Amino acid sequence: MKKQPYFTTFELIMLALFSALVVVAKIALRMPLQLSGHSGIFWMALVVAAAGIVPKRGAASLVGLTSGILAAFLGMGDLGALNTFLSYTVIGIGSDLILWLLGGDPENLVVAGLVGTIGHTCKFLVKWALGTLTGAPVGFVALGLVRAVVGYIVFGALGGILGALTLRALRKAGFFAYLAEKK
Amino acid sequence: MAKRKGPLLVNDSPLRKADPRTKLALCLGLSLTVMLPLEKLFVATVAYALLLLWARLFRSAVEQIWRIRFLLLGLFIVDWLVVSPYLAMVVTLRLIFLTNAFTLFFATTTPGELRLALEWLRLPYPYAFSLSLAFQSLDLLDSEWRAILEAQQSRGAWHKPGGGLRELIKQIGNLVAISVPAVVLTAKRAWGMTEAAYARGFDSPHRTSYHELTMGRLDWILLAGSLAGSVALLLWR
Repeated sequence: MKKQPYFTTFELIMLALFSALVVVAKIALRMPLQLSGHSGIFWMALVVAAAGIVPKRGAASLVGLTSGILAAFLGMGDLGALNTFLSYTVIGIGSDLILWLLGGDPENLVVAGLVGTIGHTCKFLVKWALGTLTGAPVGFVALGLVRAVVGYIVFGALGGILGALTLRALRKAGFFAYLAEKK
Repeated sequence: MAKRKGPLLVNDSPLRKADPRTKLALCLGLSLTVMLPLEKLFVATVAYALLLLWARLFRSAVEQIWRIRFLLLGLFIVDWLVVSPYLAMVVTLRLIFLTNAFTLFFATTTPGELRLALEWLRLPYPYAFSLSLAFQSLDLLDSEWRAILEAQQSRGAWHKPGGGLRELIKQIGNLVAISVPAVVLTAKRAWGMTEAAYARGFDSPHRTSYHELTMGRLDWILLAGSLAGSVALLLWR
C-alpha cells in the first residue's frame, strides 16, 4: 500500500502560495511608521493563518522555510542571504513550536498573540547568533538589538492577533466548509 | 514585482554554468571561513574577492556591503575603542563574509536549478515542486495583493496608517479587510493549481526531469580549488 504523504498536494501548494504571499506582503506593504519590524504584522498574520488553515504540525515551519528561500533569492534583507533565510525559517519553526506548546488553537486571540510575539522575536535569535559568530562581544550585540526588540514584540503580537481575526472571519464566511469540500 | 533589492540573477557570470551543488558547497565552505583568525581571514577575503571579480559578482557584493556600511562602521569604531583594533578588524571581516557568502549562490542560480539540487539531496518531489511554484507565483500574487489593497482603499475599508503605532492598533480590525480576500484568493488559486498538476500527471510514479544536473569540468576545478585553498589555510601557521 502506498504511504500517504504528511501534507497533501493541495496543502503543500497552499502553503507554498502562502509563503509567496508573505514575501509579497513584506515588499508591497510598507507603512510610513518609522518603526522597525512593522512588516511583521502581515508576516505573522499570514503564518498564523497558514497554521490555522493547514492544521498540521510543521505547516508554519514550511511557510517559514519556503518564504526564506524566496526572500533570499530576491535579495531581501540587509544582512545577506544567509541571515534572511535563517530569519524567515526560524520564525516559522518558532511559531510552530509555540503553537504546539500552547495547545494549537490559532483562532484563540491570546494564543495567536503569543505565537506572533514569540515567533517574530525568534528572528532575534538569528541576529544574535550571527552577531556572536562574528566574535563581537555579546553585550554590544545585545545593545544593538535592544532598541528594535520592542517593535518586534509589539508588531509580532499584532500580527498574531490579526491572524486569529482573519481565521475567525474566514470561519464565519464559511471558508473552512469550502476547504473541506476541496480536500 | 515592485521593489526588489539585492542580488538578482547575474546572467553574464561564468558561475551561471556551474552546477548548483558546487555553488552550494562553495557557499557553505565560505560561511565556515568566519571561524578563522585574522591573518587567515584576510587571505581568505582576498581569495574570495578575486573569485567574485572573476565571477563578475564583485559589484553585487560591494552593494551588499554598502547597505550595511553604518553597521560595519559603528561596530568597527566601538570594537576599536572599547576592545582592540584586532577584534575590530576580525569582526568587520567576519560580518562582511557572513553577509556575502551566499551572494555566489543566489546571484547565479535560478529557483529551477535549486529545485533540481534539492531533489538530488533527496527532498521529495512535491516539496521541491511547491518551492518552484511559489517562486513562479510571486508576480501573480503581487498584482493580486495590490489589487486588493487598492480595492479596499477605494471602498474606504482601509488606509495606510500614518499616525504612528496608536492608529495602527486602532486599525488592526480593518486589516482583516486585506488579509481575508488575500487568503481566499490564495486558496482558490492553490486548488486550481492542484487540479492542473494532477491533470498533468503530477503523481506519476515514473517521473523524469527535462533538465538534469551534471557536474562539468568547471565544477571539478572549483571544488578542487576551494578544497586546496581550505587545506592550505588550515595547514598554514
